[in-house]
Amino acid sequence: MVTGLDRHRTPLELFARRRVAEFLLWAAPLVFLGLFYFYPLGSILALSFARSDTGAAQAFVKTLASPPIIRVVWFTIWQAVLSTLLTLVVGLPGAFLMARFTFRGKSLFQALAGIPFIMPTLVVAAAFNALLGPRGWLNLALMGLLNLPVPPIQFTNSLVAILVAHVFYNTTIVLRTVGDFWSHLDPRLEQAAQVLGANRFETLRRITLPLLAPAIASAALLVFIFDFTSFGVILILGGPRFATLEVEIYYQTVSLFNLPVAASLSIIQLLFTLAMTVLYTRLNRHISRPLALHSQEYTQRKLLTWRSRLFAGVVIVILFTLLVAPLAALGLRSVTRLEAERGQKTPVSNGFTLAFYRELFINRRESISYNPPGTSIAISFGYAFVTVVLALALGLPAAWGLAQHAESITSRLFDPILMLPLGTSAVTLGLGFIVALNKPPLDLRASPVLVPLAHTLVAFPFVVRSLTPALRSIRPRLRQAGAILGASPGQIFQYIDLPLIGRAIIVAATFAFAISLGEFGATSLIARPEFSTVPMAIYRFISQPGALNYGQALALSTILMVVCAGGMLAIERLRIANIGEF
Amino acid sequence: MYTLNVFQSNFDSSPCVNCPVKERKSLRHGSLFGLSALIMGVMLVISGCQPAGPQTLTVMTHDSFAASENVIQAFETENNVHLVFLKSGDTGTALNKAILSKDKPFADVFYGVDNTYLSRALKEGIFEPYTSALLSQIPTKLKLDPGNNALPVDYGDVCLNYDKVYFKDKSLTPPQNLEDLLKPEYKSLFVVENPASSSPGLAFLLTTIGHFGGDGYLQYWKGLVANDVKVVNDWETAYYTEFSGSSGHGSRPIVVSYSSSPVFEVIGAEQPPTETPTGAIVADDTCFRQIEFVGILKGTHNRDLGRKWIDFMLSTTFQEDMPLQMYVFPVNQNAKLSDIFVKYMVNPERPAFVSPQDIAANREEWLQAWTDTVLH
Amino acid sequence: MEGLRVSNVHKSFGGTHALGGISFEVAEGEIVSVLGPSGCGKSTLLNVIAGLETPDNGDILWEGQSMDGIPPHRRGFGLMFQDFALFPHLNVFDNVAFGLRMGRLPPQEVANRVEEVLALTGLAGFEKRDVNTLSGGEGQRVALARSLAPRPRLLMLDEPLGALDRTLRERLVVELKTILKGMRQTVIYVTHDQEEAFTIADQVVVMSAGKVEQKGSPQSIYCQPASLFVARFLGFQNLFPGKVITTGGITAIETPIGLLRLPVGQHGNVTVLLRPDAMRLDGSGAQFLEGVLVENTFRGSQLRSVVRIKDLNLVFDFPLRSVLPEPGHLVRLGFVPEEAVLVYDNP
Repeated sequence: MVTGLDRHRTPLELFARRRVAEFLLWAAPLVFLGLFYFYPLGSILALSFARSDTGAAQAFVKTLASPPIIRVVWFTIWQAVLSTLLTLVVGLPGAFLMARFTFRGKSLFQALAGIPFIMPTLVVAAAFNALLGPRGWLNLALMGLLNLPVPPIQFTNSLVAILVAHVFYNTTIVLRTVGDFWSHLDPRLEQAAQVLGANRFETLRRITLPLLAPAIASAALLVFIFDFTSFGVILILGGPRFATLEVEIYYQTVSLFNLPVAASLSIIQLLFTLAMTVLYTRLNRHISRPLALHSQEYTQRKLLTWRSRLFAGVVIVILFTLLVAPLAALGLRSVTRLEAERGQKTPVSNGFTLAFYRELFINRRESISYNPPGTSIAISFGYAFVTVVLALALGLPAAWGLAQHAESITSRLFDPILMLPLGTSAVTLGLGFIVALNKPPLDLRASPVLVPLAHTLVAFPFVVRSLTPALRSIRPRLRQAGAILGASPGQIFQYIDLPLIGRAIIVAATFAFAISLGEFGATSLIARPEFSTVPMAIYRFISQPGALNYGQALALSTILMVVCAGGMLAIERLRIANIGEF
Repeated sequence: MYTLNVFQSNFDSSPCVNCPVKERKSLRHGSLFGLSALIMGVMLVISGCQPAGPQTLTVMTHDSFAASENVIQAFETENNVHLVFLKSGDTGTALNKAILSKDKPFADVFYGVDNTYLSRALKEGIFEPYTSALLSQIPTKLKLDPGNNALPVDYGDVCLNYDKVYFKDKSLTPPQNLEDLLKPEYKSLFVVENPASSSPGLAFLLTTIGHFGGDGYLQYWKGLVANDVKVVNDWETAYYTEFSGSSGHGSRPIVVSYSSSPVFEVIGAEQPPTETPTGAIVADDTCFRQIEFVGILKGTHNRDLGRKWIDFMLSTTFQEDMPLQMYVFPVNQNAKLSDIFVKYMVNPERPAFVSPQDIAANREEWLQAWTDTVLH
Repeated sequence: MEGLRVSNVHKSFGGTHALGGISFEVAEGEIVSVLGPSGCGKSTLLNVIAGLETPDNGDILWEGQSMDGIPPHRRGFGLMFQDFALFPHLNVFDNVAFGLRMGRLPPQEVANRVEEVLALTGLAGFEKRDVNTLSGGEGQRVALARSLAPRPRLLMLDEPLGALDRTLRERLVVELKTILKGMRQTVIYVTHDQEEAFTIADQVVVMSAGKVEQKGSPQSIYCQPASLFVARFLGFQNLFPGKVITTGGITAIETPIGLLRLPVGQHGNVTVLLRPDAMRLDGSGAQFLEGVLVENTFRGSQLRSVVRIKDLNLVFDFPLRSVLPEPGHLVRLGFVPEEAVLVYDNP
């Protein structure tokens, strides 16, 4: 694109300027990654291998070759693949519903489907327990109906629990990423196929899915990485018989302080993430294509036919059961006092109570670790806000660079690098911060600033992945048209790209928000009592015995759910300069 | 707006040669940036802020640290110091962080090493010794470090808990000791935590090692497996999901938890009952004592204050505050327990014992053997 | 033989009536153009015929059989969209072959037919091209080829030339007609451009706001626009108010340009159209108008003159070799009222 300003420059200067401009796009994200990812990671890996008796290479090979580790790696891979496939199977019909139809309560439903993403694993375990545990509703119902002595459903400590929990957590990624992209696809393409003789299935297979492929691949990559690095779900819901790389890393680091082994495992985990991402970028180059993007007003319709209503009904019921019911069970338990005679088959509910909620606001023991729920929520939201801004500020230029210069060496190099933080062990990285960030001005080891920084490390690759398919789909002609009309690259971004991808930005922001609230990647970081977040407060309650503690954990979790849903709904309704209208 | 028809050849505008290039981020983006920078700055200031007068003492702890406000304030006022507590993860993680930063520590004092990790801490040399005057008030058997690099602060006993109501209903006698758990009448009633991932789980494993010895414990575990013991990874699942005696109303009436857990089932109840609904089995050699230690981090610049803090932690004021805050018990013999504990608490007289050195030396081997025996 | 019959089709979306009772027929081999302004419901009509929408009332029949309940992919109709809707992930060959493959034809037959259709539309050699790199004209041909390839019993074209420039359009519409007539294809051709419609169609259906205003051959519509709407839509400008009066058994219309003696069925206030092509300069005619010539414009095959008569500027077309006075001079125009004057009730 030669603009008027370029007229007076030599071709060499133009080339250099373009390269510099492109590099500048990447400057902020790279500096951020360099300081807060590569430097700490490198430091801890170096230090870990320095502690081994043999050299780094030998330690690594030894770890890689040991049969238990091979088993762990294999399990990590196949459970992630299976979980991802299941999540797609559950999420794609939902994405279709969200993309092509409008109906009352849609925003609410989308927000509810997003809540699982932020829930701490212990709470999710409690939620599933309320529904499927030995004394959960389902078992009680079955035992009562069929007169069984023992609860027939054995949910926890099973592969099923792991898979269900993964689907529970990650379906919203598919719903939002694929759903948003789908909602801009021209329905005329499908209509054209139908008129040419393709039935619904063939249309889906030959037209819809190939066109959706970039978004599906993007969602699948993210879901896979999350499932691959899964920790809490495996530990708590899977039980002792299952171990992924992340669990093994935790065990080696914390229990055995066997740093060389832990470092080797971290590298293995990283290499896998890198491999998946490279695979994805290769694939993406083939499947990304410019599409005519249309507004949702144009592509969406109401549920008018009985067939569409039936479909919507079935999908909503399934998603509701899977995603909302456990949380509803949790909420219900937080307001019920079940002081029944134990040993009885059915609980004698002593009825509705707000005691646990009231207790949340009382610092009964006058502990310094106490924060009233309002403060914890404010702190969580504060961290989340900073994370969203940082993640967008870093993610937008990176995504734009990827979309604009998809073929350039810089993009091909940086794209996989961006994803690495998602696939890095939180345990290892947490230690990395301790080892690396110990010299002023970067002595952040004791600083609460570390928390949003860690959140951003996870959130900003997410933002990039959400935005890139949308940006790539903007036809180059539109940008060219803008350039001819006199727009500088910055103006093109502001007036053409930004409004067209406005919704994708909202989706990305919502995810960054949720990631921060759910404290992904910051579980082993320092935080001070006065800056303690909601998940930390929940953990404080649930890790101590007593009905009052347990009840408060449930109550605070319910508050977190409601507040999070509200936050997501608010973001959805955001209208910044036409962004979000599209 | 959404699609420009590029085939219309009637463009009328000419590119503007002298127009200034707009900033890539508009003012709106800039102000969002500014706001978050402001928030971060405020947090940095609050976190790093040194009030003009008092010094700061930084205490690194694990996540479960808690204390009463007035107790902390008493120390702060008396010594004109501002206390900062850095919660650094669970016990093992916090210790690792202290070890990895030992050349440039970012705290003055570390609290939370327990006897299963003590040898690791001492071997890495993260502490400097301090012989506090208050050590004389602490029983010898708790002072596991003769060099006084790590001083004991509190202890908790990991014991078998059982659901009284269940056993009453079934007219079954609760088990009295470890061997009882192998009996057929207790089949499928026991849930235990994985020692590799859970602190009470490890404690129970050490109990069996302490009682049956390094040669005999595996045989015992085989018996437990034969008696359908359930293993879960963490205490929360064991206690709140599987245990029948607590809020999860699970199906197993025997669980590995703490001797204090039955007491906490009663705290906060609307009407305090005559006895706790669950009980702890405190027979000899059935519990394991977890002792937690504090130490001054080598390289600190606040040695005097650190020492004062340790003295404070060992003083009755702090020691008496601990049970209700941290669910642990004072090492100071002069500390008095609050009424609720006096009323309901049962203490083991002779918990099983394994030395910290043995633990450090054999931990990996024991865990591996246990995993092979129980999980495979 | 009757091909398509659209029978009293109604369709509304929410509160808006898109189609309010449309009826017309398309004989096999006939090209019918649906002509109307944007928003009159043309695209909705095509969607209903194709089966992409279900009518609220009325029916679509092919050779007498109702299409009710038959999904789009089984109707055997072809639809070429206004914005082409080419499949961006398939190349030209695969786009064109799509319908054939859905019809489960063997690969060799598919290849043959695709080549045939590409040759027909002047796209030989384009097989491997990426559809996203095509020019407007090329895209239009691919879209046409794609819809022609499966030999649909009825082909519907939705503003197929809308994205092209004038000369290309004029050339392509003639080419299109040749191709379609050569194949004896039954066609519905939707457009807002009357020249296109008149060039290509055997029959024209003029639509406005979901209703059929007039049906007939291009000539009959042009010569006898049935309503004021049609007249305006066709671009007639010489419209002025009139009042029907009867004196002594003779009806005439009082207008700002004078009294026009013409037997009409209407009464009271009407609108009068004076055809621009019905004026004679040679002195023949039953009635005469006199006015001042304002200006003459050369328009290729015609001369267009603006004549000021009494207070109205009226536009008339004359053959190229007519003798017209200079602007500013008087001119005398003769006409036969039955040929030249059309009268409409006021709406």
